[in-house]
Amino acid sequence: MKTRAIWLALTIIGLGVLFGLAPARANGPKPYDGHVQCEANNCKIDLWLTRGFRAFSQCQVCHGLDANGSSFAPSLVDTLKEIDQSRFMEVVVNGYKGQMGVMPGWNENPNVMKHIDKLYAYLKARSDGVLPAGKLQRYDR
Amino acid sequence: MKRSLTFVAAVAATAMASGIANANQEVMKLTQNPANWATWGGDYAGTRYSKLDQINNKNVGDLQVAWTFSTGVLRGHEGGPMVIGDTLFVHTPFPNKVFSINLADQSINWIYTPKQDPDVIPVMCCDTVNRGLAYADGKIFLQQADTNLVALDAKTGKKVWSVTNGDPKKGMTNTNAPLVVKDKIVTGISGGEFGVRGFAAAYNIKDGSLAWKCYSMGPDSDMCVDPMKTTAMGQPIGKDSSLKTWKGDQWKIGGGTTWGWFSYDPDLNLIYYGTGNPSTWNPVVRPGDNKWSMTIMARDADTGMAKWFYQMTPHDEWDYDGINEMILADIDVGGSKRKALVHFDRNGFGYTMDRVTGELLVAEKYDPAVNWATHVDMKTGRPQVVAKYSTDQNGEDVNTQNVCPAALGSKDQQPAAFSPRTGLFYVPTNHVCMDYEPFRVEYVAGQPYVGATLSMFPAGKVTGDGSTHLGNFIAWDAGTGKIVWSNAEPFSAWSGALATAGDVVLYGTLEGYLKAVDAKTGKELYKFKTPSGIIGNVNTWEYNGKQYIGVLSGVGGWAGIGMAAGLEGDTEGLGAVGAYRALSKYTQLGGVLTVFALPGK
Repeated sequence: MKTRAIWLALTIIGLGVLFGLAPARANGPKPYDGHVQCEANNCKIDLWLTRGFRAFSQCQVCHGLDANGSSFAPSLVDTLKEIDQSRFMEVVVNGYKGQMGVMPGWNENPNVMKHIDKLYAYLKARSDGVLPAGKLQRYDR
Repeated sequence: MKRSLTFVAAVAATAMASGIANANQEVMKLTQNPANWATWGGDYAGTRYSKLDQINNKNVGDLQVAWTFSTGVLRGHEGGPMVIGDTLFVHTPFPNKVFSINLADQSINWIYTPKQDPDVIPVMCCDTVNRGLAYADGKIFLQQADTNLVALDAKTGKKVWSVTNGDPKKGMTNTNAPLVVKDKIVTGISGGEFGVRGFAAAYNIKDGSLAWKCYSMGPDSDMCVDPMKTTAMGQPIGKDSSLKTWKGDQWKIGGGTTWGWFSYDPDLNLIYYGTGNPSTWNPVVRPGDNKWSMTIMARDADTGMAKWFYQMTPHDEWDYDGINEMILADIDVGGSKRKALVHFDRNGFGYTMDRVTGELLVAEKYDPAVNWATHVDMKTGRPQVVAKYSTDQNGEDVNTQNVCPAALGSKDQQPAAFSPRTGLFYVPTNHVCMDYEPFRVEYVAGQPYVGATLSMFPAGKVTGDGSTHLGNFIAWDAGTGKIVWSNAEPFSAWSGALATAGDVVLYGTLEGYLKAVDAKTGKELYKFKTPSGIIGNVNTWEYNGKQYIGVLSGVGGWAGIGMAAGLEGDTEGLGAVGAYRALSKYTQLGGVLTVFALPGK
């Protein structure tokens, strides 16, 4: 896990060097592209990404209302810096037996599964520091 | 493992022929002796009043810490210690340990550590709390998170029997303190955020066999009602009173869970409790009154048969669970003495009912900020909802703003106290408002079934009075429905109160202070900073001629869930966490029992 994170970090830095961009920007397209509009530091989202935030309400009990984790579940803001979308999908669908061994698989929950791409996009935006925690304003209404 | 002599004596003196049918008498006698604290409320009426007066409004300023005890468990510590003779029993959040402590030297007689599947943790909505124990017939009763109701031998801690009260795979858990009534133990169920259909159940204390089980909603046969004899607002509820108020078979996942406190009137042989929110939090998809969610219930203790119901919040649109405690007190209402039931609901109204008949006597706001309804119509008993705060009328995917109170309620589960000396009720309250946006969710057994996003903030943002405090501790006249005095608290007052014959009232705060105030004036007389935020109940007892006051600290619960979940970020609009984010500057997690007494022998 740790090695993987380091490789990911190195890759990001590498790409940044390659394309001459700031590291945070260097990672190509983002899953939330086209769903966030920012003026100064105030970002608004659309219904698509709002559905990701709503799906996240299923995760808040353990991962915290702001996704920063709890005494028995890790910070998703941090974790999404370390894992890619396919690993994220795998854990959400099948569950994860970590330190506490309590994360259930969500494969039977339509409120998560129908919006798993939006959930990932929302959490990635949180992890990238694009969106603040909590409820967000909509630009599409 | 010293055998507890006074414990045996205290019990022997009261148990008499040890007849189980007399368990009721036994507990009653234990509660009549103020040296004990033998039920969650100190007595069956749930008054949380003690006749002890050694600690009083003249000397409480001299209070000191006598001893402390770490539970070794993090997260929210609700409920309080139970004391019988020379033994103190105290419980913890998940994994729900129980400690028996010898008051002579504070040594541990025994520890019970249940083996519970941690899979139950994600099925608990608002922290892994437990609200305490019950005692009768030589047994300690614990309602575990995994729904197992366990009877332990009070002397050894050995399990006598265990019965499964629900299925966590279907979202059922337990957090409540059970109550022994006669030869039965009454309990409820949690899971209103998981589409659980609520019920109250009574098990025989002898062997854990089921005596009765009555649902909050569904067919008449499931609810233990007599359509002609069970009344609401003085009228028979009629046939299919619940089914008519739900679309199709939504009642099957309709909520109305029963995770609060139970009270009992031995003269009327009635138990009283409230039912929680209807599922989901999105009101648009469940048209109708959703009976009998959000209801005060009076049931026969032997059969569970319902005497009367009163639904406080028909068709809930804000998560105003009706589970808060029912305090049974004989008070003056409109010039005559009434056998009253007083209830401070999450919805912000303080209700005074005739507990014999279910007649509505008083319904007034106990926080002036309450705005979702103008008043309660005393003829129909219905709140008059203000359209702009109706999350149903505003509809799905619309953010209804500035609703007071927030979903936390003007008060949550933290029980109030009643002093017969002042005739006043002492109520720990929240002063918090919210934005609420309902959306559509699908039901899956054992999965969260919520369907609304919330943000919460100080009520001052809505009232415009410039205040930023999140709680008040108030004295309330339930005969007139008026606040007598009110002390502002920076955070919600989320601890159970205690009133005593010494005319002091005690409660804890989320920053961790134990506070003592004058019962008549509310003047602060003493405070002490315990190791963590207090969401437990303040209890009192006497040992070797000395009065003690004990309280669990250990922040968590819904108010502290941000803390319990390890959140400290300075983030706006985060539901409870947004409003409570500053709490981490004052306190951290950790369960400790702190016991206070006056100096000297």
